[in-house]
Amino acid sequence: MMRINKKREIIKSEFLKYLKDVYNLSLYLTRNVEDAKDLTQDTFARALEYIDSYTPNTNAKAYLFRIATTIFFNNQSRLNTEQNHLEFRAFNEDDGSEVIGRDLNLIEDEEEKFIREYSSREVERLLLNLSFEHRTILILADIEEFSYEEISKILNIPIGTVMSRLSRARSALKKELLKREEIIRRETGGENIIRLSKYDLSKAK
Amino acid sequence: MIFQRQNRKTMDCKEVRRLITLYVDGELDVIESRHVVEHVARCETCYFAVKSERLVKRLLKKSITYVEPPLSLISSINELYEEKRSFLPIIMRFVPTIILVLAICLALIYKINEQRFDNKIFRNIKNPPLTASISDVNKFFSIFKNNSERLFIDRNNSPNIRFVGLRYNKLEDRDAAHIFYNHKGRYISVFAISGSINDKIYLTPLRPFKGDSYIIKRDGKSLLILSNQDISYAVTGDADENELYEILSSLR
Repeated sequence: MMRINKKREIIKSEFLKYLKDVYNLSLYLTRNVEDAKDLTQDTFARALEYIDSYTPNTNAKAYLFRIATTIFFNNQSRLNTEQNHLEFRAFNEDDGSEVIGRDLNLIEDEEEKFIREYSSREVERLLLNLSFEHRTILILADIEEFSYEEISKILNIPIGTVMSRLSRARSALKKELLKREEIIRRETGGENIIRLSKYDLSKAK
Repeated sequence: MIFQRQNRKTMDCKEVRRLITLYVDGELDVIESRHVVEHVARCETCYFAVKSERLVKRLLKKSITYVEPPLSLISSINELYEEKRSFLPIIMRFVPTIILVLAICLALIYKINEQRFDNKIFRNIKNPPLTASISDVNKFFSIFKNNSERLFIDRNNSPNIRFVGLRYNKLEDRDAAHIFYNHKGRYISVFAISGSINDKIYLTPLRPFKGDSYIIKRDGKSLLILSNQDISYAVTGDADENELYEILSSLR
């Protein structure tokens, strides 16, 4: 009795450590604050409901992400709708980091320069414009840096699908980046902003 | 020949392109990775492909910052997780401690009692009366009644034992008598307590000797104890264990 309760307390504290991560994943999945709050709440409630099926000190974050994505995908397929209005950055009004790395005097390597061209708000907007499958896999692989195996467990899909979906998601994001570069090029008529187009595969082919 | 080479290169590029995502994500093994690196070193197209793939990955990692969850959400989830904590488990948490404390208390009480009873018997035996007063004898006979007769050894059976003195005592609310004999010129003390010493645990270390008798070693001397339902005897003196047992047996 006591051991079970003790185990539960340990698991609970383990879960609560990832509240921020689950909330942010929820934001990128749902694309608005209210739904993200609901999804986070539902995820933690479901995790508590099935607390005995979790083994302490395994991958709590992946476990919670799996619950969150499952709930989201289930709701998504039931409603069969993606909301049309996107509340870009609505969840981060006090964003002070307009340009990432502005005050970082890092090595001026080409990639750094490229990254600093974008504000976090801009990247967020591009990411949110992608389909939910694409943005989910990009968050898991690129931001959370889960391995393919972990992603395959979280999303309950084969590793081969992880690979192909991730590849397509990156291509989709690249396309968005190129589009944005094209717009800026047209607007400014300059070349100061274009970076990725240099590596555009479609041109290289 | 040239055609073959170009064809091989194309095949190579195709294969590398397939592996780029894996390469960037660090999912390739050493051999495959080396294969990609070697190819990229001599193929500009694939080099750019790797570079653009990595740029996108790094851009996401560096640009996306997580926001803090709203306080209302934090508190509602914390509440959800606290809710199921009942009062009982908190009590349960202290159960082992309570048991431990009780066990320590019992052990201490046992230890203290043990020393108290043990010492009292022994102290009484150590300081034998050399003469018995009339009131002592009266009390002794009033208490031990029939059994008391046996305490005075039949001189025919035990010619070597001579009665020296007696004192009436009270020990732990029990009636007790202290009788002093002389055996072959050596002094023997007999301590008799009404009733049996059921609480033998008080007398330690208690070692079975012969029959129902037990031995306690104190200050290098043997203290023999015989316990029946009516009276318990404790015998000590200058004699050895077997001699004390002989005296103890004759007292019965």
